[in-house]
Amino acid sequence: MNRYRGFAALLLAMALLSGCATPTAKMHYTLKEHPDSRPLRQVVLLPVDVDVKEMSAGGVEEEVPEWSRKAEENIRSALLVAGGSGGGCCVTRVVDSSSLTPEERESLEEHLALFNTVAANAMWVDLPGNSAWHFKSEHFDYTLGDGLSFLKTRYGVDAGLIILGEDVVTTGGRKAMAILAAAGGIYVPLGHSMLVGGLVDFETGDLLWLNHTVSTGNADLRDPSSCLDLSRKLMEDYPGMRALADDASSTGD
Amino acid sequence: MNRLLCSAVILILALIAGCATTWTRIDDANRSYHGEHYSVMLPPGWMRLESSGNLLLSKDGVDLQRIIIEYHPHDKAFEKLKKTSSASMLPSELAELTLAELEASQKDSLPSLKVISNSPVDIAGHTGFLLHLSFKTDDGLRIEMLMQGFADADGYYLLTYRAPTLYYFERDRGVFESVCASFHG
Amino acid sequence: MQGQADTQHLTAEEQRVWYTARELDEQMEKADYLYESAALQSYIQGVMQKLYPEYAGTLNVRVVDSPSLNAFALPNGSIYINTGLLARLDNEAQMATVLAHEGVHFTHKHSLQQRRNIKSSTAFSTTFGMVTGIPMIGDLMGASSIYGFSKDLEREADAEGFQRLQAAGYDVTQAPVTFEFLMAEVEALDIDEPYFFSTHPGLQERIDNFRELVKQHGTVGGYRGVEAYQAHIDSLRERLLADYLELGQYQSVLLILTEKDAFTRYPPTAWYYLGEAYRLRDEEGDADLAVKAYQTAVARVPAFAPPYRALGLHAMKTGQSAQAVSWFNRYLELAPEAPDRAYIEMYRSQMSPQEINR
Repeated sequence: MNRYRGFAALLLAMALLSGCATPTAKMHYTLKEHPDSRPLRQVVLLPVDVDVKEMSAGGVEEEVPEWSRKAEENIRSALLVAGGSGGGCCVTRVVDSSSLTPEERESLEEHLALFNTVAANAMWVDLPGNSAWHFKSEHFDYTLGDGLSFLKTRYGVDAGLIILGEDVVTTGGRKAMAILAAAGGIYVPLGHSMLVGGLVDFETGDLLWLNHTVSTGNADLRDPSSCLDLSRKLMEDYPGMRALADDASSTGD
Repeated sequence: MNRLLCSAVILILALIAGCATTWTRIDDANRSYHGEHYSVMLPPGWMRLESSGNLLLSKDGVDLQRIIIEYHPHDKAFEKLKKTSSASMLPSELAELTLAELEASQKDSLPSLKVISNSPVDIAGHTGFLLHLSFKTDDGLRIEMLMQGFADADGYYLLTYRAPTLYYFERDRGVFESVCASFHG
Repeated sequence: MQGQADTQHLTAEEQRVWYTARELDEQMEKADYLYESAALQSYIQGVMQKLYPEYAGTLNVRVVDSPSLNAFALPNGSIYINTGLLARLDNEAQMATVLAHEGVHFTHKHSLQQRRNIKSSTAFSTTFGMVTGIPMIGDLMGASSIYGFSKDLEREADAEGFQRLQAAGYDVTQAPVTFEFLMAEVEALDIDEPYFFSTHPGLQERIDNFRELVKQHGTVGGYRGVEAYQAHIDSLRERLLADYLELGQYQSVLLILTEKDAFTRYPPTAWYYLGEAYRLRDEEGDADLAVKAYQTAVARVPAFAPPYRALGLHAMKTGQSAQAVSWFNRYLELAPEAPDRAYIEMYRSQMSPQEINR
């Protein structure tokens, strides 16, 4: 289900307004002040939620479920590449929703919906014109509450990584239209790829890290290597993260 | 009430970001608000946005918690319903119209809206109403609201607090209660 | 709901629309939009089965808890019908008219036809809203099979649905009647046509089409199912009145309850709702009409608490303190757990102590 749709437009607006140069990653103020204050030995990946849609010549978007599943698989592979030796924070496991009780699943779903809202608000404060709110980025203290602590017990991990995304793939007809329209001075939006990532401390619910990345036109989450590139960009400044492997073939695709 | 979802409010605020209406941070120097129709003490550390004498307050972002303070002249109290208020209205009648106005403001009716409680309350030296409501967003996030209102000779006043049930509602509820306690029409 | 295995036979294009439909199904459940009643569900599903026996297990009816007049079909066979529409219909044959129509949208794959039309259209708008994709659950009114149908497809659904109605043995003369009295409501309330009709041919056109179909193909007789329908829908009718009042739509309540023979269809507790509608309308003379309606409710259903409260409030506001306290006392005796107990106790305490101690 596309939890992401609530602020897809917001992120696109931010990308267009602010350009790509502005750093986007946010770190919880306790981690910024004391980088070793949160021992993040193990991190589990929560269910990835990515919608890949096709945009027709007429601008109608429609999710293509098999593309969405492929993109989610690519993201899991891209992130799990980072797992292994070296210490620091590693994404080594994926939460299996089917192993949770119905109440736990419902709780997880609702917390992911809350993350959607928290992330949207945490990013909104960076909009140009919201300068009065910028202190919230400098002193980043957002939280989901401690309702996911059952995952700490269940998986023996400190934190969870949440990834949401959207990819809008344009058809050939749409691209042709855009070229024609551009010749006439009219802008026709084409596709985009967006990822939002958040790291949640299961004990406290604190959002330890939040980042997003937007690509307007070149990325394709269906393609493993393109997905790896976008994931790498998303994971910049991820606390304790080691660089993702360079070789796309190491993802196993 | 789907239009109270973050997508709508955030987009609206995104669109007005940078326009003439600006957010200001509340501190000890400016927390005492005296408007044309009411006065109230605002919570330090929160942010405020004023528009036409109405106030929007938030600490982390309007979809994580918001307090809205509104004044309406009697003839504009319930515009969707095309109803007026009056100083002689019973608090239960005001509550009834407030709830109907809230539902009428939504594009679809809100099947998941539940009235948790509806009771009289003392506010600003008047007897008003306190509504405690809950509903679910379309991705299953539970939201709760408190609405306190009353009417006097001047008009109809409504103070609303809204936050997700998970963590936020109870955390900031006390702030709303303090704001209400300080309110004078 | 169909499981993943059921989609294997679908084309890639069909799978996409099915998937989107399933997402909406899940959202409807998650957001508590559905009216849960196993008995009602079973009854309505039974009617659907009579109309479309070969689609048993595929066409699944779900009831939406909403007072608005709406019904829609999704391309995965989920059919949604609102409690508001159910409450306003008169008999099973009228409900079957609506269900038969919606079923055609699924059996004739109208979603796919419409989808192809929209996607090949060169007219485009490029607003931010497009980035967010399909209508959200809050746009159910536009969600007649997600994209909405053209008038030609709606006419096809009416005509094919009519055949189904006839084949299942229903009284087809009820097909135009289904819309005639709804039309009366739309006109009387001077509202935009209810959403069920917003993507459909105009109401009058539908009535005319059905009359023509009845003339050409209709047979005498057929099952109406008045009693069976009444038995299942009775509680929805009272609920609809309460919902309308909660939304401030007192005009709808007045229209419904001042119809001829209204009280043969609505339970006697409806007199209380009629009184409330007069109270909310608050025009000259309405206060007296309200009191009369409350008193009728008390006479017909003495154990039903709300009219006592209403009479108490009226008495209090007109300075009849003793009478007000008496009504309030009776209200609280009948409804000790009343959600508005705190208000009533406060009002009671504001009147003279002598009256309270009687």
